[in-house]
Amino acid sequence: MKGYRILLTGLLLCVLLPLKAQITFAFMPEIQGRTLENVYKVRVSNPAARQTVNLVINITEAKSGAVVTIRTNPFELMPGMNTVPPGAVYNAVVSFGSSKIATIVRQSGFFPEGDYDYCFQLYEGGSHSTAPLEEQCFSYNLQPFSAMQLIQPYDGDKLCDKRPTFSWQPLMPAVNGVMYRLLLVEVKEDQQRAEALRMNLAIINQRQIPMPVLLYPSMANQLEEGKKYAWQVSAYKNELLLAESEIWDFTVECEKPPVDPVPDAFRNLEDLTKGNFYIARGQLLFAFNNTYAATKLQYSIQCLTKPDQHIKKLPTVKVARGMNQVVIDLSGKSGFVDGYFYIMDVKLPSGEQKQLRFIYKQPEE
Amino acid sequence: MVCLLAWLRPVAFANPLIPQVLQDTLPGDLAARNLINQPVLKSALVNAINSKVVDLHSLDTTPPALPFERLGLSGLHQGARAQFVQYMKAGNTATAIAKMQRLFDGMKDSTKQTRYIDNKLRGFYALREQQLPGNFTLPGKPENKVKGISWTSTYSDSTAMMSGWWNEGTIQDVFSISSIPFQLNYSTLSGYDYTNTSLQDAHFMKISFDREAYLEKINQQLQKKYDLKKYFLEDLDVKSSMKKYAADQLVLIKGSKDSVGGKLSADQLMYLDSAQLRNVLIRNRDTSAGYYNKVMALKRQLGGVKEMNQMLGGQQRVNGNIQGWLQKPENTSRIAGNLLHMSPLQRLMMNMKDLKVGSIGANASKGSLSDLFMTGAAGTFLKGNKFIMLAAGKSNELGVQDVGLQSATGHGSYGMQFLRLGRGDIGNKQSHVSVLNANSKSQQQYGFNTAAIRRNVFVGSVSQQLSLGELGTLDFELSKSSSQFGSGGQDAAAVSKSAAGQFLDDIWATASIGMAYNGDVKKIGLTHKVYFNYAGLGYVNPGAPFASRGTLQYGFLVKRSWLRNKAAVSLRTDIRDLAVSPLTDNKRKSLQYALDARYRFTRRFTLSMNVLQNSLKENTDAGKYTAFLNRKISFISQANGKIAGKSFSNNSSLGLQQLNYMQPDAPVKSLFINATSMQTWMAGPGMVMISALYSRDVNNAAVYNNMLNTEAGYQYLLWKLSCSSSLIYMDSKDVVTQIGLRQQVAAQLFKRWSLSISADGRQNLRNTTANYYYGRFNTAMSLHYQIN
Repeated sequence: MKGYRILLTGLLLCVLLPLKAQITFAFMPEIQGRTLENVYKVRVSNPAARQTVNLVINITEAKSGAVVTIRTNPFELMPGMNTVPPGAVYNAVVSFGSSKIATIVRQSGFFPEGDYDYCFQLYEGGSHSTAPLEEQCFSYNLQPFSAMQLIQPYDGDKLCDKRPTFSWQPLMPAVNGVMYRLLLVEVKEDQQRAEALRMNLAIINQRQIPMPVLLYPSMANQLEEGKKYAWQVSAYKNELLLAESEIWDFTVECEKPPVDPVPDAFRNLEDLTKGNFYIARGQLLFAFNNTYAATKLQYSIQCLTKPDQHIKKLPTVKVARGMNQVVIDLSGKSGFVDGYFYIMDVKLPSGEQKQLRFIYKQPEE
Repeated sequence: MVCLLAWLRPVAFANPLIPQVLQDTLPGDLAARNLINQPVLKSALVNAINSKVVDLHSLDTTPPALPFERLGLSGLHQGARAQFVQYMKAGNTATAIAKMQRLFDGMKDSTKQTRYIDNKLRGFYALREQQLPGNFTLPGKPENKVKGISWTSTYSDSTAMMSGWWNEGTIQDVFSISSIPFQLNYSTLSGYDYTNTSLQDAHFMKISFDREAYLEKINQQLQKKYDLKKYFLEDLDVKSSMKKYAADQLVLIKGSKDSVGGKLSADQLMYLDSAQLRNVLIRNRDTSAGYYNKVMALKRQLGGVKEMNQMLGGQQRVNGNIQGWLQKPENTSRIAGNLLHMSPLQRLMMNMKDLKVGSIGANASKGSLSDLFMTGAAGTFLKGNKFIMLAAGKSNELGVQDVGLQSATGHGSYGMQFLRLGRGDIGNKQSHVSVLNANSKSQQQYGFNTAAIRRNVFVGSVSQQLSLGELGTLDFELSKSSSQFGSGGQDAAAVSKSAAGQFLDDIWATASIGMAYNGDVKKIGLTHKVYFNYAGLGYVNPGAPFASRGTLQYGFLVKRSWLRNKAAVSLRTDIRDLAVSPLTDNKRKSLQYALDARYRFTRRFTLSMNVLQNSLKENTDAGKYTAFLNRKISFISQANGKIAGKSFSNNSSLGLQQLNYMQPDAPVKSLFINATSMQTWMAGPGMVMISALYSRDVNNAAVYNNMLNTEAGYQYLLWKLSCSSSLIYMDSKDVVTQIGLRQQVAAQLFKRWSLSISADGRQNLRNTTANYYYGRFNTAMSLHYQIN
């Protein structure tokens, strides 16, 4: 029985011992295999005790051969899940192959399209002369991410919509579980948009957007006229930020309604008819006192510059009893040409006839 | 006229930064001439000073004892001389006066020194009453003034908002040291998530030099001490001075030779031409050779009749120009260096365009610094046409808004130094060279702890803007990067050297070229832009973190307006080819076309139309296909006016949008109908607002964005509070249906305080597990304290 137990324990040990030595690498080539700045974010699972190790990352491409080799400084591998400590990464020795692909990686840090093998070798101590403690390779046929081009509202645009819809190009190739995050901030005076985006309280900081469009959130307060806003979209998966768009800005600006004339712009009709040509900037303004009952003002306008020009569809003007400040809007009416001379015949409720000569001027837009 | 202008033209006028308008009104060939050859004007100025200052007949003998005769100022009477000396000394220390004295004692008749004295003389003439004795420094007392403080807190339970609570605090402060004003902006951003775990607060401090305030300050001091119109001799009676000068000179000539003649009058001398003058002299029998020659020499000095008339008549034209010029502080401050005593730092700051320290954004151009946010300092110096920009700092890839995320973008954090220099200003005609040196850094902030691999990047750029006159401007930029991943054992400096040292490697892969042409034809309301950009797959620029790589972009924009901007049409295309590999021609092709048209029927009604198509086509070994397509047509109307005497406004749109995109499992093909309308009108004491948004996928492919959101609210004044209450109904098909109430209250308290509170509460009529981002409660409170 005792021998049986020993045998069983021995067998169990035989099964478990290789398991105990089994160091595993957790690496997501579709995300971490895209840039040199991310390949060392591999996670190393260590079931054994603490030990000093160094990591060699060897990346090759099927057609071009060696791309890059990273040899980290020695570091302490703790029991459990490990990441390579920053110090060991920062001082790593990096050497590149001589292919065109290797050149692009050396210069930009990004891996271009290719069929890559990512091999992780963990060596004991500070040297790599001995056989590696563990080696594991991952292969991935990489398609680089597209630039997430923003679409609407266009950079520098002016719009009147206070709840605009945002759209952008999705991240390609499509990765399972990718979501978008949109950040919208107000750009204050004396601020640059990059400052605004980092420093200001966001109006929209919306995550988990599943598609490349965002309708203005129902809960967010609407945008204000005259203000400038900056926005940026990021793509992420779980807690990993994958790509960021450019920063764009736009201004909320609506068509301005015509300004109501100030009361002192109204001069008495009596004075106006006595004087020389009056300048009508888009509208005729005059005042008169009516002692009779309220009625419609009877008037007609003729063009003096081109007498054959007929002027029709003049606005109806109601006059009340007492002092009247009359506004006749002429802008946009056919027959009114900038700089032309006109004459208006008015029949006041009293029966009195007045003639007002004026020059029409197109209002400033 | 020409002479007057030459003299009037101070150093400032030679500066290209003076508004083009003024430069155009001043003839260009004047810079070479100066007062030394203009005894007439000098004499006019001396006369004017003599009549302004009381003649005291007591000479101040303390230094500097000016050699008045040698400086051509013998006409100044004793009182004027004394005060002029006093003016020269004002505000100077004994050492400075002694130095000035040595300068005059050892002075030869050099143009530079005479010009210096002439300038001082004009300053003295322009001095306002009772400024002597006094000093001409800027008020140096340190100042500090808080401009505003604000605090905003928001809370939202929207599930996808990263943090439940967000707080923002800001302080704006204005202070000045040694008369140089700065703005201080401090802000803090913090938050708490739903489990009430506090995020690390972010603090931002920005100190920026307030150039506008500084120039205004200088201007105020200048105007207080001087009558600047006088500095430009605007009120000088040149005509009568000239006459007096001519008469004096004639007396001198006559006195030296006891002639029987001497009947020549100053008027004759001034207004007759040489031939006529000779006739007069013959008639007067003043024909002695000596007298004749001297008269003719004097005549030459005064100039021909034509020039003289031009000079006298043209003075008024110049006066008008100067008046306009003087109204702008940026102009007057340019002459401050001559008239005020300023420290070297104060003089330096006059040419400092921009100076910022702290958490700052830095922008120069697309190929150098663009949309960069960093902690550091940046400054731009522009004197005359010389431009220098310096920047240094550390950029961080992640901000406090990114808390909860880890970066896998491949754009790291960098410590960097930047230098740009050349001629001309950014945005104007320029030719600049810039260099950027960057070293990768790890980020330990807001709880982020990102590692970095040692890396050195060096970017060199050449930027040029050419003016094609009426045709527009042409921008050209060439940028080249060189990157080096560090190897262990080498120190940072060695790595840095190697990146710059290998600058010329892999030229095409690491170059970026940008070209743009901007122009307009004002007569027909046309503006246009054409651009072309190339960036190699290996190009990387830490100064422009969002710059593209491996792209070939080109496009144009044409915009035209008619009928005084009543109608406008713009057409735009943006084409981008994105390379994916240096080995194959496989590309992504992104195309965008946009056509916008607008017609303003009246000032109260405008209709516009937008057509947009954006597509992304993949060209791989497997074949070509369209990965993304967004086609949209929309009609938008804006109306405002009065119905029954009550103002109203309406902004509505109706659109059709086709949206196809790839998802890992299956492509999504949607066709949306979008309609929005926002209407306000005055009713009773307040304003009614109604808004509606309807978006529906006709193909039923999209899960989200099948939405109806309606709001009806009333804005009113309650006691002193301005309030707004709205009822909301929101239905997102297959996701959530909500009904809610939003209340906003804003109040002005004790003049300087303002408070606004808003709360939005929703009741879910229906909810599903697909609801990621429609929360039920949202509130914001902000308190502002503002001092003008």
